Amino acid sequence: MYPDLGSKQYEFIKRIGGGGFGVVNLAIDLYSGKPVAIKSIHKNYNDRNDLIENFKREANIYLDLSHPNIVKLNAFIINNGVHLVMDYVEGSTLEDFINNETGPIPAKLCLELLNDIISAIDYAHNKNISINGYEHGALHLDLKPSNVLITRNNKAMVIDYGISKGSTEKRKVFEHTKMYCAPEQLDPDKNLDKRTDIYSLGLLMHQMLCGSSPYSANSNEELEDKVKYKKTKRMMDLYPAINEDFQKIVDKATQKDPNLRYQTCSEFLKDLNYNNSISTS
Amino acid sequence: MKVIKVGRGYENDEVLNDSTVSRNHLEIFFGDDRLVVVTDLNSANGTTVNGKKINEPTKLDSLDILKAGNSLINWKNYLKDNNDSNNEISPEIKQKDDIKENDYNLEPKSKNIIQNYMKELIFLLIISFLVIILVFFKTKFKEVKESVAIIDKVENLYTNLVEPLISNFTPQKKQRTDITYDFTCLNNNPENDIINGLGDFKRSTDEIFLSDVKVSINDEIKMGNSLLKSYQSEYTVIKSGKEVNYLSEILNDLSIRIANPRGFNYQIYYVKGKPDNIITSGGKIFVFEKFYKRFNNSSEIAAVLAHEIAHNEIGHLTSYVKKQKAANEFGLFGEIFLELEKVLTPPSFNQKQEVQADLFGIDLVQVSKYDSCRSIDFWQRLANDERQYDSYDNLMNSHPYSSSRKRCLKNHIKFNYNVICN
Repeated sequence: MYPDLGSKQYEFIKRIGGGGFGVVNLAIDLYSGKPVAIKSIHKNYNDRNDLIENFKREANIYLDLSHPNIVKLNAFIINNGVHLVMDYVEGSTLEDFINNETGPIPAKLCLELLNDIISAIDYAHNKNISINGYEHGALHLDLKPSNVLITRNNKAMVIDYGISKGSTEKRKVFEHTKMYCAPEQLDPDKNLDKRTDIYSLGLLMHQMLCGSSPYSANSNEELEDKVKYKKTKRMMDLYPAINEDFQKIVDKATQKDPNLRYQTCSEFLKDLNYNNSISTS
Repeated sequence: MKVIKVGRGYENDEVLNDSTVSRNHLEIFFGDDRLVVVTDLNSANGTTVNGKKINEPTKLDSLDILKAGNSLINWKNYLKDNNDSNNEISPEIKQKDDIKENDYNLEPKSKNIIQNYMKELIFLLIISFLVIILVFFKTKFKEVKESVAIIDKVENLYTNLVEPLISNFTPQKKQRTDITYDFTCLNNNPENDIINGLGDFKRSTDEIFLSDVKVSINDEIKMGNSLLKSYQSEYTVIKSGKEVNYLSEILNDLSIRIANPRGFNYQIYYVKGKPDNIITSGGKIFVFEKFYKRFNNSSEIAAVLAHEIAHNEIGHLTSYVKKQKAANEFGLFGEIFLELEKVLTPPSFNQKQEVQADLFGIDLVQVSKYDSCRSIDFWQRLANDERQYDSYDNLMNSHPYSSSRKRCLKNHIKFNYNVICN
């Protein structure tokens, strides 16, 4: 039932995730003794060249990204499908962390985690990656609570550059989670840039601070409508203890017009850390 | 056009500090027309492109992932523009290229530099020496801290796993010494009782006859050496490479846990040849290729290696060495005696010793990162592979009935470690 990697180097332990085009299994790398997470294309898609190409590109992105808050590549294997062997991060996704452990994350921890996440995204935005179109950085474009891992020492790790785009690369068509996407991602004619990720980071911040998703909707159409035109739920209504300044930051990050948002991650971080002194005192 | 050499040796362009990488592991050829070709330089652990081992020079496409041993090579860094600020490796390459171009005037220039800046150089040397000492102490301290952190992590992980966990870092625990070995598990039928009784009798009479013969650990080591020599003449004995590394890693993890080591330097030899066996003598463990292929996971390997360690540590081979030594003193007569003794003693007399080695082995595995319950699976499978024993087989076989053996192992693990194996 585990994928066949064509080598005895990895001993599979258990399935830890999956869905869509792939599955993720926990395994032990018998050469190094380290636990690894192996993301494999679902066997039904073994002959889909476009998906294989995507996996390959994702592997190459990780190869160039060397940041403490971005998960690292161990190996890339083409054998009965494609397999990305990544460092295993022991902990839980931000989604499970919020749902099962903390609820709304205490402001101080929230700021630490956001600093981890945003600095990782900032690094990727500015890193010269040796893939056509990625020379001026990589956009993540799928930032959501299930794509951030929280380690046992409360450090955040960004995962899944599976649908990323190079800064100067042409836009591709991808399915993404509508709840956390920016309005321009719903419009195929619009360009995506760093500010698209900044929007999603704003939504992430909302969910971390008040423990629930930024919009509620009963249908896909209603959700699309909210993403395009409506402000996020007011955090004070959901969780009264929240510092007002945080709402201002979330609002600025999640402006519908990219020109009104923070233009870079470092602007975002600066505002966030300025407020750090107010919120935690 | 350039060639980049990668390996563990310092003479390479990219030096990798990884034991799975060979001294000169591979080279990458960068042509003028964006042609990139990688060649493995006969490395021990091989070179892979997208996870596939290469056996000949292989062209690299833009998104191919290259790996030497267990290290990823970011080969595209060498394609990048040398002026790129993000690039960590290219500037070095550029320097090297410059040196090559200016080769003709390099020597006189460097001599002048040395003469003019002698004082500065000495000063620099002293400073860098101090820095090295400082860094050394700092990293030592860091290493200790890091390994403690990883141990915590691994132990945390262990509680979530059903399968055996294998990791580089485990607490350096020694085997317990307060264990009682219970052999009643062997006495399930009358014929076994007789066999074991005769075996015990044989051993105690041997003890009396051989009590005057003194052997040291060196005599056992010598016997191991002569066994190695005879295997080398008969089969292909391999002392390095993937299998040996893998087996040695597990062996080392077990041998450090021996409570009162007799002083053997345990070593693995991987033997290609007909026999389907694993044999030990004087700390040397000979694993035959066929036998190696029986293993399903590291914990099974650990169980078997621990069993072999046990034979050495308990001294099961000592009496044989004694006989050999005694026989040597009697010349030809002694040699005939030794052959007769081999023929007249059925291997089954050693069944109890085998179980003793099993249980001692469990005590080693139990404090390591491997799963001691996996030993039961392995011995069971081994027994199933061999034909069904009848009484005669049992008499001729040194390895006990699998059912008795299984019971012995289960009981031992349950009563001494409170672990129930399924």
